[in-house]
Amino acid sequence: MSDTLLRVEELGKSFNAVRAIDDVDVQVNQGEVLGLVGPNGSGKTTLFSCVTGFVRPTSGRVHWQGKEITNLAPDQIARRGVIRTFQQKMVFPRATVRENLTMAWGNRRTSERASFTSCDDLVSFLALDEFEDKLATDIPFGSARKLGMGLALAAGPKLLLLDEPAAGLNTEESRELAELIRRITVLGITVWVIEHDMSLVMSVSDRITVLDAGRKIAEGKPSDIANDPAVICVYLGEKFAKSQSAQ
Amino acid sequence: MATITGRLGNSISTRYNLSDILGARLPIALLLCVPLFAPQLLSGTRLLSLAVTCAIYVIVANGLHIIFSYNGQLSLAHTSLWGIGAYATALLISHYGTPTILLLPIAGLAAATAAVMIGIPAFRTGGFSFAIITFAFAEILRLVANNWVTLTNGSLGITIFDSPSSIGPISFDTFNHLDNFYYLVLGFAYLSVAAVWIITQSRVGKTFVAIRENESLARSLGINTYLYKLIAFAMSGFFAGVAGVFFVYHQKHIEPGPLSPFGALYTIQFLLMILIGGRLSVLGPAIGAVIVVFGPEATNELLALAGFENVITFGRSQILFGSLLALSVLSAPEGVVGQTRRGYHVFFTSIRRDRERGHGWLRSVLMAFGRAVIPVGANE
Repeated sequence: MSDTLLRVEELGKSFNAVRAIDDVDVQVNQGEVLGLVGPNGSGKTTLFSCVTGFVRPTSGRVHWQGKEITNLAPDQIARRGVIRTFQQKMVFPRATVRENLTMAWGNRRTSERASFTSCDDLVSFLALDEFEDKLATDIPFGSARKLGMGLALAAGPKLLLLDEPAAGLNTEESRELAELIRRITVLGITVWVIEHDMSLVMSVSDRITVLDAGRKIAEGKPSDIANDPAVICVYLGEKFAKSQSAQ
Repeated sequence: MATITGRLGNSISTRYNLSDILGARLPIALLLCVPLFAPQLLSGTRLLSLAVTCAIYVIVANGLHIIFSYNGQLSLAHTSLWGIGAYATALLISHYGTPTILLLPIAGLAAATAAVMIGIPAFRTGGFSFAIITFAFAEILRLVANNWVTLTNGSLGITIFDSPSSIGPISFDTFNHLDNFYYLVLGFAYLSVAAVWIITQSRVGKTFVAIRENESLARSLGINTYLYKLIAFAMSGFFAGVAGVFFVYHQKHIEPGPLSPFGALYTIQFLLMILIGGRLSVLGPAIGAVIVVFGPEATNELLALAGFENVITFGRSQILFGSLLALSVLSAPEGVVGQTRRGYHVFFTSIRRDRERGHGWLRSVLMAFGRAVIPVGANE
C-alpha cells in the first residue's frame, strides 16, 4: 500500500431514524483516483459532506495525513487541502468566469501551489478561455461544471472530492471531463469521485468503493467491482444476480 | 463594447470607447460634482441643513451598503451603530471636550467594536435569523440608552453646543458657517463613496461578494466566512460611527426616541435608500439618500406650483416612500442606477445597430431614445 492520505473510520451519520451512513471505512491513498458509486440515496454525498465538515457525523472519525479532522469547520478542512465540489450551485453566479477564479485563487491558503503558476494558467488548463469575460450564469452547463472544478483547483487541493462531475453532461462533455480528471491526477492531486456514469467511473478510477443504503458493500479494482455479485444485486436486482451466478 | 449589464459594480473593463465615456463616465463625473454647488443651488438655511442631513445619510447608507449589498447580510442594527457613534461623540464632547480629529476615529471604532460584539453571536446563524437577532440587539441598545440614566441622561438625551474644531481660519460653526460644515461632511461623504469603491475592488471586497453569492462554496474553498462577515460588519459599523459624530454636531442632541437613530424608522429608511438607489452599484446608496431626503421636498415644490401648499408632510412622506419601495422592488430591482445603466446600454446599442443598418443619424437617435426610455419589449 502506498501512502494513506485520508482515513475514514467507522463513520456514521443519522438523520433522526435514518442511518444515512452506517459504519463506513474508506481509505484514500496518495495519487490514486478513487471512485464512489451506489444507487440514489445510498449516502455518497452525505459521506463527502461528513468528510469535508459540511455535515457533522454522529459517530466515527476522519483522519487527514495522520491527524484527526472529524469536527473541524468546512473552511478549516479546506485549508488543509481537502476540497470538494458541488453538484448544484457550483459557481458564483453573478460574477465572470475570471472573477470566479481570481477570487478562489486570491484566497487559497494551502501550501499546494506548485500545480499552477497563475490564474491564466488555470483558465487555459480548463480550456475556458472563450468564456473568460462571461458571467458564470451565461456559460454552458458543461463549462460551469468545469468552472466549479476550476474553483476547487484554484484553492489548492491535495485531495479533490468531485461530487457527480458528469451529471447532466452530454457524451462529448463527459469524455472531456474524464480527460480533465486524468490531467488533474498528473498534477499530483489525489481524486475521490462520486459518479453515476459507470463507463466514466470505470475508466478513470484506480479503485472503486460501492455504497448501498449507507453501508459499504464492495471495494476494489474496477474490473472486480463490475463482477461483484453484491454490486450486481444492488444495481440489477437479486434475481439477475442469482441467474448470473448460476451460469 | 459597453459591458455594463449585470456586473457586480466591480467589473474590470478593458476597452474604452466613446459610448463608454458618454454612456457612463462623463455623466457620473458631472453627477458627482453637483453636491459641490448645493450651497449655491439651495436657498435658505433649512434646505442647506437638509443637504447636511443628506450627506450624513450617505455615510451611514454606505456603511450599510457593505454589509447588506456586498456581503448579503440584512443587518437591522445598523442605525443603532450610528447611534452608538453619536452617543460616544456626545459623551466625549460633554465630559472631555475631545477635538473632532480624535472623535472621528474613536466614534468609528466604538461602533465597529459594537458591530463585532453583535456579530460574534449573530453570525452563528444566517439569513433571516441574523436579521432578527440584529433587530433584538438594536432594541437592547435602545433600552440601554433609555435606562442607563447616569450615563446617557435617559430619554432626555444629551445636548451639546459645540461645533467641529476650526482648521486655521476656517470655522465649522453650524450656526454661522453652515456652508463650511456642509463641505466638511460632504468631504467625508465623498470619502465614504471612495472607500466603498476601494473595498469592492479589493480581494477582501470580492470575498464579501463571494459569500453573498454562495456561502457554502466559499467555505469549501477554505474561506473563513464567519471572519469575513465580522470584518464586513465592523467596516459598516465604522462608517456609521463616523456619521454619528457629524449627526451630533449637526443636531446638537442625541436621545433614544422613536425618531432618533435608535428608532425602527431609520432602519427601514436606510434599506430604502439602498434599494431605490441600486444594490449593485457603488453610487446607489448616495443617489438613494438624495431621493429619500429631497424627494418629499421636490414633490412639495411641484405641487406648490399647482397651488397645493405643503401636501407631503412627514407622515404622508412615509406613504410616498412605501409606494416608491414597492415600485422599485417590482419594476426596478436594481434601483435607479440599474435602470439608468440599462437605459444607456439600450440607447447606445440601438444607435450603433440602426447606423449599421444604414438609417440616418436623427432617426437612429430618436429611436434609441424611445427604446431607452420606454423599457417595454425594447432591444432584446
